[in-house]
Amino acid sequence: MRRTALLMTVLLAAACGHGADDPTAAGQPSPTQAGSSAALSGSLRIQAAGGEGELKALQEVVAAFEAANPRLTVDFTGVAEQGDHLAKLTAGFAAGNAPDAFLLNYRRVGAFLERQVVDPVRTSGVDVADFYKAPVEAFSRGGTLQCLPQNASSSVVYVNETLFAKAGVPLPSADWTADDLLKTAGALAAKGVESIAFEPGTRTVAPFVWSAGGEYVDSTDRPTRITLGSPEARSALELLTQLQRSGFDARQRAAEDPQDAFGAGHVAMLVDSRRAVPGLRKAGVAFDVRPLPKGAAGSVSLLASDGWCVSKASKNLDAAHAFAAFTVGDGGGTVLAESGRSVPVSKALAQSPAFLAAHKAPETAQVFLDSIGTLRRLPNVANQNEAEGAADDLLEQYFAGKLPLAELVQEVDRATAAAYAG
Amino acid sequence: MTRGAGTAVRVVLLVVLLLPAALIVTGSLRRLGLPAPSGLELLPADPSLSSYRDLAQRVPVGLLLRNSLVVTGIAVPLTLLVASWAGFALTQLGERQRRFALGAAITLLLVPLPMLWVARFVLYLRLGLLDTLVPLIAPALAATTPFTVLLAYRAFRRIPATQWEAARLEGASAWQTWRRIGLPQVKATTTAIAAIAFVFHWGNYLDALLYAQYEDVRTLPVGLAELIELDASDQPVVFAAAVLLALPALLGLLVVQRTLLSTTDRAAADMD
Amino acid sequence: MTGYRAGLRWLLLPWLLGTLLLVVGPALITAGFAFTRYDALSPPQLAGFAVFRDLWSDVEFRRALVSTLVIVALAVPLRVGGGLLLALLLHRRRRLDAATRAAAYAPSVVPDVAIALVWLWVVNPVYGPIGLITSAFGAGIGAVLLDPAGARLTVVAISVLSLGEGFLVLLAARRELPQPLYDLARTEGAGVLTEFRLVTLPLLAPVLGLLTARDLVVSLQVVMVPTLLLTNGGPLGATKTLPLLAYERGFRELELGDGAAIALLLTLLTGLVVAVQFRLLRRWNRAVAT
Repeated sequence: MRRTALLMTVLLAAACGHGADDPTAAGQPSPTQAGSSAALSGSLRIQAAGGEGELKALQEVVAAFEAANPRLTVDFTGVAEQGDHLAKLTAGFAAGNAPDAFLLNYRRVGAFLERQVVDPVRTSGVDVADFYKAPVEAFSRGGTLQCLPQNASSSVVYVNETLFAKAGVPLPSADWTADDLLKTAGALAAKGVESIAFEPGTRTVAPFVWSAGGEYVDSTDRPTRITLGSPEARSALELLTQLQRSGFDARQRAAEDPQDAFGAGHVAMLVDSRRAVPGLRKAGVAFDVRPLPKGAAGSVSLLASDGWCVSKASKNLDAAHAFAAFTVGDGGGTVLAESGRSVPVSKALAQSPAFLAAHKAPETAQVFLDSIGTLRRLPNVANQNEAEGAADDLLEQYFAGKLPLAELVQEVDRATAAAYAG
Repeated sequence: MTRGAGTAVRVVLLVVLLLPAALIVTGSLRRLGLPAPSGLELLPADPSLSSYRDLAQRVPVGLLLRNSLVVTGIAVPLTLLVASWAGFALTQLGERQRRFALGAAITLLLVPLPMLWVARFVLYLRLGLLDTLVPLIAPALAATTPFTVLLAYRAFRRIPATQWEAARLEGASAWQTWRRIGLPQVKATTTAIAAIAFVFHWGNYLDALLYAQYEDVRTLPVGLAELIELDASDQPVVFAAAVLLALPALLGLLVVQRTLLSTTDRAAADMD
Repeated sequence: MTGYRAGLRWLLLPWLLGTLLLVVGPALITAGFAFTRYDALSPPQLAGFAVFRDLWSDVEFRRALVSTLVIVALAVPLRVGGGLLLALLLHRRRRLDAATRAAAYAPSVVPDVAIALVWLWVVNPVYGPIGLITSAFGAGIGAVLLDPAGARLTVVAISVLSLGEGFLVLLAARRELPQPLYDLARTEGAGVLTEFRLVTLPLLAPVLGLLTARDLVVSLQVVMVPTLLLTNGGPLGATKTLPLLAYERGFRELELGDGAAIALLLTLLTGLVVAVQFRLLRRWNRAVAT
């Protein structure tokens, strides 16, 4: 009800151009209040990275925000690749020319917090109490929320309904086990269907290690190394290696990105987070999602969460914070939820039809919400990005069959210890 | 080596070099949305320009092109002037000055680029020129590469020194002599220098990466580099981007190929 | 008279100033930054030789040094040798002369970014030409860029394909060699190889020496952007050359002092190799002359 009223405000503002100028028109204080505040003017520079669908959704949010704030001009820079995004931000801060607000994964935020270039979240206009806990923790440092989480996604298994039907293999149930996953993959492969594709890095390996009952990083708060030596971690790697045999191997991954392969109907299952959804919808593939299979420690998934950080040096701090609030509130948050890209951080929004909309794939979007309870996260320290980069390079070699397990364990230990030590 | 073998080598070389180029051009004409071809396809069955249209939707081609044209439009004439003036002056300055300048030019060809990055970054930072088009144009102030100065010097040296003396005796200034007597006689080399400058500035990705990152100053190479993320199913779009980037440079090469490829060649140099 | 000479100096001035401001000055200043720690956010801190000590004990730097040496050692001889071979094959004026020269030079004018976009397709193991052709013979290729050797060879191949500049210089040099010497060799009954060893090579040696020196710099420069886009220095640093590491440290991690120090070491290394090479060349010349 409240949401509908506010949406109307936004739409009215868009239609008349002046509706939001009247401070009484917005009614009760709420998340979008900040976004449609009349006082905002000047210009704002926003930067984010993501795939085509993600960027398009964000552009829509920017347009809605501009419509709600007619005296503000927003310049949105969308970057295709994470590395370029970080390089651009780094250069921007060095040049004193950084964007006012930028979207970052919590695993990459550490370096920017360390350099003290981020203005902590202003919680006035945002109902953080309604947020899921995991993303809030992930973006906090010293008890303060530094960047405003925009979404809280988890790794899941995407299944191609058409390919399963064609192979005559039943779709897995929601409480399947690692063993079921292996059997399903085997059954698909027996029918000549490529079974599963995944990125050979931290994003895939960490949740499988956790599900098996192991630890991926020695400590979330004070990490010193990534640990793949435990029997649990080894069994998780072994499981993934076996899966790779009936699915996409290194050669196929080099030819085609896992997500694109799944979108093109070349592979029946995909391990990925919510970010795959806009692209898969566009590709028109018939798909649904299942939680990660249960291991010895149950089903544990990896938190994927992006948050809006505001530059301390911004000349338009009010507008920058208001924009961040707008993207998680009813105005922008709804657009993002509908785009399929984001699992909202706000519980109210996550339970809303905008997100759970049954007429759009994935049918069982609830899976994403259910797994929020079983989420674990990676550290958000300054060198997290370097440590993961080092581990991912080695994991890629391992999954390409160029590095034996014993060497992988040893090298990951050495390289990530060096990276965390800085 | 017999005459026939020489021609055979040429034909083989042409095929080896031109076939991939042809595959890229025809590949860019493949209709979008089809599955990636499972074999080498010389000509798509149903050629279309859909990949070029798609390209225009993915990246702001108009903006990128405009920036690239601004950069080349300023940097190419600037390089020409700087290189031509320097080359002209070097033919008539004292032996010691000439040796010093030419020696410096050749030594500078041996300085690795990374040696310039950090200081240039700090320079542009202090001058507030980061994230403008200036760092992309600036190399033209140093004649883009010392090679262009050497080329200009070589061309002016071919003109008999008596011509300069005659002009000087008639009271012409150095600038007038360059403009009226020197420049008209080295048209081929001037075109070659323009081509070298164009090729460098048109394709310059590195300077943009280092000093100019943001949306409104992005040039064509920067914008199109993002397409490296595209997948096999969008291969025609990637080819279209490669064609769009390479074509102007190759056209430049064709236009001046007789002169550019022959300026080091005595026979053709006589055309100057 | 003096007015004319002053005018000449004015004409030379823009290039001198531009070079001073954008090349000589920055090179010297970068050398200075090499002894500091600097992140562009706070003023640089003088650190002296500690920067170099840290680099020397840095695994990534050592690996980059090795990768650089391997890639240069493969690319430079292939680039200079390939240019020489083409020049010798094509120096006689024949039909298709212009077309062949243009074709051989063409890869050198194609922008780096286009080269990277095309090579990603070339090495695609399933949809690329190499994969398709080898698969037709039942062999196939793996993930080339995931294999350290494969990735290095790809980088070397990109470098070798852009040998146009060297080829043109050698072509011109070969065409200037006096024909009578070859006629004499022919009447003495010298074969193609003897002719090459006794006539062509000694006469072209100075040009080859200069080209090799320049190639030490250029062979790395022409692959910098394609490598950045294709492998980002991977797998496991196999293609992370010193220029790439200098970029990464300086501009991605904002350790500008490190970036400068790596650049300085690269420059000193290049200078050392060039010096040794010229000394060897001079000795060889003397040996040939006597």
